[in-house]
Amino acid sequence: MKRQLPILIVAATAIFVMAMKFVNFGPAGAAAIKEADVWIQVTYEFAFLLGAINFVRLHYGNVSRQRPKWIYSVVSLVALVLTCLVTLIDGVNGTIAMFLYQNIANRIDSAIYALLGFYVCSAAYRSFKLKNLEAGILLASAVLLMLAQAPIGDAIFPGMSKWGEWILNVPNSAGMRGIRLGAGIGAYAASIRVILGLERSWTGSGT
Amino acid sequence: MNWDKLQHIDLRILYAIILLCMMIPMFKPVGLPVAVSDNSETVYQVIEDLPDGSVIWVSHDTGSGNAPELNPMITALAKQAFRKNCKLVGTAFFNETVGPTLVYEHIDEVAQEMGKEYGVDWINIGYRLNAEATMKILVDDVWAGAGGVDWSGDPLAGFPIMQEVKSIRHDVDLLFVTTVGSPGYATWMQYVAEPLKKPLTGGASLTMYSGVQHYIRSGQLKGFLGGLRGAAEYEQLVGYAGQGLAGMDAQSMGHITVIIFLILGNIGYFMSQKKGKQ
Repeated sequence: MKRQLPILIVAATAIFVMAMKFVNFGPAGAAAIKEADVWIQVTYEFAFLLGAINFVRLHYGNVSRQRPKWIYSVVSLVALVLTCLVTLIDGVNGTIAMFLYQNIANRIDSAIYALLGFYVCSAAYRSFKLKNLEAGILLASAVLLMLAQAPIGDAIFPGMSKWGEWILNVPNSAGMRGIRLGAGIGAYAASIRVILGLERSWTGSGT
Repeated sequence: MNWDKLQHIDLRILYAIILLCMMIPMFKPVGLPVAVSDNSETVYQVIEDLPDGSVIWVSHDTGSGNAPELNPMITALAKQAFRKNCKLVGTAFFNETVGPTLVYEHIDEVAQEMGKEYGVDWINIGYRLNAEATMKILVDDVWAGAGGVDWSGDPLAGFPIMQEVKSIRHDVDLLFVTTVGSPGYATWMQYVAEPLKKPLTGGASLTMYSGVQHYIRSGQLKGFLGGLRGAAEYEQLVGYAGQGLAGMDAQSMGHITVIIFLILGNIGYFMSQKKGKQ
């Protein structure tokens, strides 16, 4: 029952939401969907709580068993507790809470993103080699788009930005549509498997 | 000559050169002209075609990493919108502090410059948890979706603009969304723009830009700005030089440097292959 109940709840909820979406039940149906939206929002908040509990359990385990690099878990736990305390006392948009978020969390985020730019450059330098036709097409497209995305491209080869637009609009769009359609069909298939109880990995019991 | 060395340049040298090449133009800008793409032209025109006094919903769905690419779009939008006496309602769903702070700062700067008042000509609702559910509520009831308060926690009842904006369905004329991931343009498209048949435009970080092209072609997005380049093009159309245009020289130098290193790496690869065969 411990395993069947979550599967039943998921199946019943999914069928209910799909029925409300595809069949017109009038004002009662609209009210039910509105109510379901509120339920989703409440469930979402619980998911955050669950995330926080899991986070504490994982890092507390690392610290208490002194696993490798456990000191980072101490930093994570201290940051979590401090942020929670400050936010509870000072408020979500409070001066100290905002200061901490903007000057620590956001700065770290920006720095990591900026470093990514350097990694992308070095990865391109090391791996973009003209080894075969496919690699050649990839390399040519990359160079063309890099030139097209910066004004210097038009300065060196007038009309370069139009070529870049064409690559994005035609071959790229065609590829992206295929990927999106494939991903969409895959998502449908996965959802149907979950509704029918064929896919059970999310319950922690394997398929 | 040992050509193989060209394939294995010390990465510290590579990083230092890239850093220098991107920094120099910031101090000594060249000011290369920026050609305007059709997509940026469409974004500008969609806003220009709105009747004066229309309401534009601006969602700055960005994190701090991509903000430098997307912030100039918000500033340029505010300039164009306020020039047409349009009203702006700001939200941000991607990050709880970055988006709401930046949408406030960038619109506020333009608003002060153009004599527009917070609560009358524009408002910042800010971040709300669970974008999908909130958007669905905002469609028919902005006040309920916002929880009755703006970003600072002040009651919406105290702002004259909110007497005009009760629902996205009836009171909003255009959605302008900046996007770096999810929630972003796709969420707005799925839950708001498509069900209501509202025009949706905005801008994406350059890494996401290739993924929006097919939606532009299908007409689901009314043009879209791509990265800093898109922001620079839009600034040019709006008629002022902001952070987008200022960053273009650095972008040019950065891209050229990477291309030069690609060429060097490939020369090294070919020459060492040739040598191996001999």
